[in-house]
Amino acid sequence: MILGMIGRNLATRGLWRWLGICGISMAVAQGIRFMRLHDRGADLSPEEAVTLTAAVLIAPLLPFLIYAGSAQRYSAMEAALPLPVRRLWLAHVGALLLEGLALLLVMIGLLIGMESLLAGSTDGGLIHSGADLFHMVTHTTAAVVLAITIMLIIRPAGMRLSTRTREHTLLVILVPVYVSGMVVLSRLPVYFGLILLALSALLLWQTYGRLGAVIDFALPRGAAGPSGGPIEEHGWSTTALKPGGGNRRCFVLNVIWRSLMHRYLIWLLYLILAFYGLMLTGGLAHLGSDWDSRLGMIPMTWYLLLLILPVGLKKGDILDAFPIPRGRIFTMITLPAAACVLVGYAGGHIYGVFKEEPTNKVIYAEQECCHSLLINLEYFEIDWDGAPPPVTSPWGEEHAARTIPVFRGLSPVIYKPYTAADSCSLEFLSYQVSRAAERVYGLQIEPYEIANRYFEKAGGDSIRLKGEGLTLVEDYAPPWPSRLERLLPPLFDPSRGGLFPIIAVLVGVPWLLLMALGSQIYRASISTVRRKWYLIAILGGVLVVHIGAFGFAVVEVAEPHIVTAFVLILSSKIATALPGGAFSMYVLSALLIWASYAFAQRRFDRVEIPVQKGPLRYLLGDWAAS
Amino acid sequence: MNTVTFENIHRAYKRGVKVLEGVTFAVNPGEVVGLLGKNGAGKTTLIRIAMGMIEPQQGEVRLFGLDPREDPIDVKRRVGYVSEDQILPPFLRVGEVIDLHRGLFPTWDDNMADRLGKRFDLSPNARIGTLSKGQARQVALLCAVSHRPEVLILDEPAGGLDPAARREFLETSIQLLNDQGSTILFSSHYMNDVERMAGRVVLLHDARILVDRPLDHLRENHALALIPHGPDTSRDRILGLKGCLGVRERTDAMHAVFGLEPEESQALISRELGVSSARCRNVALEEMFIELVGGQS
Repeated sequence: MILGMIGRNLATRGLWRWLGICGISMAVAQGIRFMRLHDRGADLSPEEAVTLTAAVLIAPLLPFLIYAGSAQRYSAMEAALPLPVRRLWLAHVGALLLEGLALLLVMIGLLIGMESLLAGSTDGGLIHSGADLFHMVTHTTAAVVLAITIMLIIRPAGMRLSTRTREHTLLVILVPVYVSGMVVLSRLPVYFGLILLALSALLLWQTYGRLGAVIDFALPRGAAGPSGGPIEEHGWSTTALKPGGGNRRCFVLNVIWRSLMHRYLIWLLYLILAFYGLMLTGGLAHLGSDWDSRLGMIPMTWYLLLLILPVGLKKGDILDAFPIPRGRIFTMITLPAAACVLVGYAGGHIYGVFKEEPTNKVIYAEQECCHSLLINLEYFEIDWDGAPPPVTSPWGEEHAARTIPVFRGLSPVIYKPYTAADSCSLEFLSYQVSRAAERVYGLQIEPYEIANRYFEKAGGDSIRLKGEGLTLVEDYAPPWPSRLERLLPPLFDPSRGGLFPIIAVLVGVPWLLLMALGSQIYRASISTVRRKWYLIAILGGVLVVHIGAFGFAVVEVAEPHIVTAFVLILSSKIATALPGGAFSMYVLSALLIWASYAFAQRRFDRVEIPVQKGPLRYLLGDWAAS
Repeated sequence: MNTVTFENIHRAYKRGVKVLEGVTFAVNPGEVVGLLGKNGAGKTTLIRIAMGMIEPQQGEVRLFGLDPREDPIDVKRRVGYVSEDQILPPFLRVGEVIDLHRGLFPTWDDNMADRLGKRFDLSPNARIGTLSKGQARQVALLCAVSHRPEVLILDEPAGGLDPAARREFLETSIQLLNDQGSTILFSSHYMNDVERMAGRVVLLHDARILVDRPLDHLRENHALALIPHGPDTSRDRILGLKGCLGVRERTDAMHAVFGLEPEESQALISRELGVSSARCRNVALEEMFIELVGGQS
C-alpha cells in the first residue's frame, strides 16, 4: 500500500521534469572542465574534481529540493481516507527519498557515461579513481537525504512545510546556502557523509515517533479569516479603497503578474535567467576564463525563457473572465523574464567595465611561424572564401596571414592581418605594429619610430624586441575611454557595433518565435494530452540545440571564442556599412525584436487558457500561497 | 437583435468525443434562460464559448452582434460572469478585487457595490483566499453585477453553497433582474432555482439540444406517461410516437415524456399503441429532467 501511495505522491509525479536539469548540469560540468583544460592546459586536480562534481551533483537538486520541500505533502483525498498520519508521512518520506536518490543515480550514470565517452580525449577528468567516486557519492547522498529529512521533520503533520510567502522566500534563500555548504564540506573525509546519513535516519525515526493522529489543516497564522480594519470601522464604502497607491494601471498589471507568476519557484527561474544574462556578457571571461562561450549560452536562454509560457498559462484561467487584453497578459508573462536577462546582462557589463584596466592590447610575441602581435580577436578580419589577400606594404613586401576557420569544413575564416613572417624585414614588422596600433588604439605612429624605439637586429637577419618590450600604452598614452563611456552602448561610434544588438536579436527573436509556436499549441483543435507532448517536443528540441552547440565545441567543429569573435567582427562590419553606424544597428535590432514580439503577441491573442479544474485546488492549494 | 446567439456550435476536447454538436439557440433581450443538462453535457463549455474563453471548432457565437473571440474586451465589459469554478485572485483583499473591477469596467457603479457589500456583510479587508465558498461567491456576484452588465452569465452559480447562501444568492440575482431587466443565461443542477428564475429552459443532452421551450410551456404542455409493459410497448415503438421526447424503462412501467398535454398524450398512446391503461400527468421539471437525461441512450 505504501508503494502505491509513493507512486501517487504529488511530488513523484513531477520526476521527469528534473531529468533534463540533470543532463544540463552534467554538460555544464564538462564545459567547466574543458574551459580549465583550454585555459591552463591541465585537467582538474583530484580536489578540484571532487568539489566540482559534488557541486554539479547537488546543484541541480536545488530546484527539486525547494519544490519537494514546499510541495503539498498529502492530497485532499489521502487526508480524507481513514489512514494514520504516520503511514501518509512515511509514504511521503519514501517518495522524496526515492525521487532524490533516483535523480542522483541518473546523474552519476551520466557522469560515468560522459567520462567514458571523453576518456580518450583527456586525462584525469572528473573522476580520478573509484575511491573518489565513492567519496563523492557518499557526500552527495548524505546531502540530499539530510535536506529532505530537515524539510520533512518541520511540521511533519502539516499539509505543507511552508505556507506563506515569506516562508517560501526563506526556503529559496536557505536551500542554496545549504547546497553551497554541502559542496564545501564535500572535501571532508567519507565518514563525515556517513555521520550525516546516520543523523538523518535518527531524525526521521524520532519524527515518526512523535507524529500525532491527524493531519494539520490549520490555516497560516494571521490569515484565519476576515479581519477588520479602518474601512470596516467606518462602514462599507468601496470608494474609500485605494490599493496600489492609486495608480490603477500599475495595480492591474501587478494583479496580472501576481496572478500568473507569483510563485516562489518563479523567483528561482528569474534568478537563473539573470545568471544567464550575466553569462551572455562573457561573465565567465570576467571571472577568470578566456573561454568565451557566451553564444553557446543562447539556446539554454531560449529554453529558460520559453518555460515562462506554460508557467504563465497554468494560472491564466484566473484572469480569463476579466476584460483584460491578452496582449497585456502576454506582456506580463514575457517582460519580467526578459528584464531578468537584461538585468543580468547589465550586471555583467558593469562588472566587466569596472574590472577592465588600461593595459597593453598589442603585445609582441615571437612565435615559431612568424612575428606575431597578440591582439584581441575582435580586431581580426573576416574572409568569406577562406583565402584572405596577403598584407602588402607600400614597398611591396607581403605576408599571408594564418587563417582560423569559423566552422570546420566551411569556408569563412577569421585572420589577423598584423603578423609578419619570420624572415620579414624590420621595416615590415614595424609597419604591421604601426597598423595594429592605429586599429586598436587609434594611434598614428610612423613605422620608423616603432622600429627605432622597440626593435633591434639580433644578428643575421633576426629581429628582437629591445628594452621593456612593446610598451605603446606607457609611451604614447592612447586615449582610454572613461568608465561612463564604456558603460554606455557605442551608439555613435561608426566602427563598433558591439555584441549586444546581435545577442539581443539572437536571444530575443528565436525566443519570441518559439513563444508564438508554443502559443499555437494552446488551441481548440489540440487536445490536452497532445498539447503536453507538443510542448515537451518544443522544449526538447531547444535542449537538443543547446547540447548540440556544446557538442560542436567538444568535437572542435566550432570553437566558441572563435564564433563569438566572428560575430563581433561581423557586428562591427554591419555597423560600419549601415548609414548611422551602431545606432542604426541598435534600431534595426530593436525593430526585429519588436516585430517578433508583435507576431508572438498576435499568436497569443487566440490562446485557449487551460482550466484548472475544481474548487478543491482553490480551497486547499491556493490559499496557502496567498 | 438577439443578445446571445449560438449558431451550429461544435466542440470536442478529445478527438471523437464531442461535447457540443450543432447547438443552435438564441437568447433575447431581457430573457432569462436556464441551461440544463447532466454533468458533462456541455453547459460549461457552451458558457465558456459565449465568454470567448474557448472557441468553437465549428459554428458561430455572437453577443450583442460581436464575436467574443474577436472583440473579447468589448464583450466582457458588457457581461457579468459568475461560475462555480471561478477563482478570484486569492492574494487580493475584497476591497482590492472591487478596485480591480472598477478599473476594468468603465460602467462600474460604486453605489451598487456598496449596497451589495453591506447586504452580504463582506469585510473589505478580508483576503479572498480566506473567505468561505459562499462569501467568495458573493464577492463574485457583487463584482459581476456592479458594472450593470447587459447580460449576466452564471455557470452553476449556486453550486456547492448551503441552502441559506443559495437562497441569498438567488434572491439577489432575482432582485437585480427585476431592477435592471438584465438578460440572464445560467446553468444549474437545482431545478428549484431554474423554476424560480428561468423563463425558458434549454436542455442539453448527448451534445445536442433536447428541449428548448418556455418554462410555462413545459409545465403545461408536457406529460409523463406511465405505460404498462407489453408486447406493443417496446422502447423504440414509444420513441417513434409523435411528440415523444424520451423513454426510460423501469420495472413498474415504461416512463415516457411527451411534449403534449396529458390528455393528448393519453389519446395518442391509446390510439397508436392500443394501450388504454397508461397513466398520463403533468410533470415537474426535476422529474422531467431525470426522465429525459436519465433515460436516453
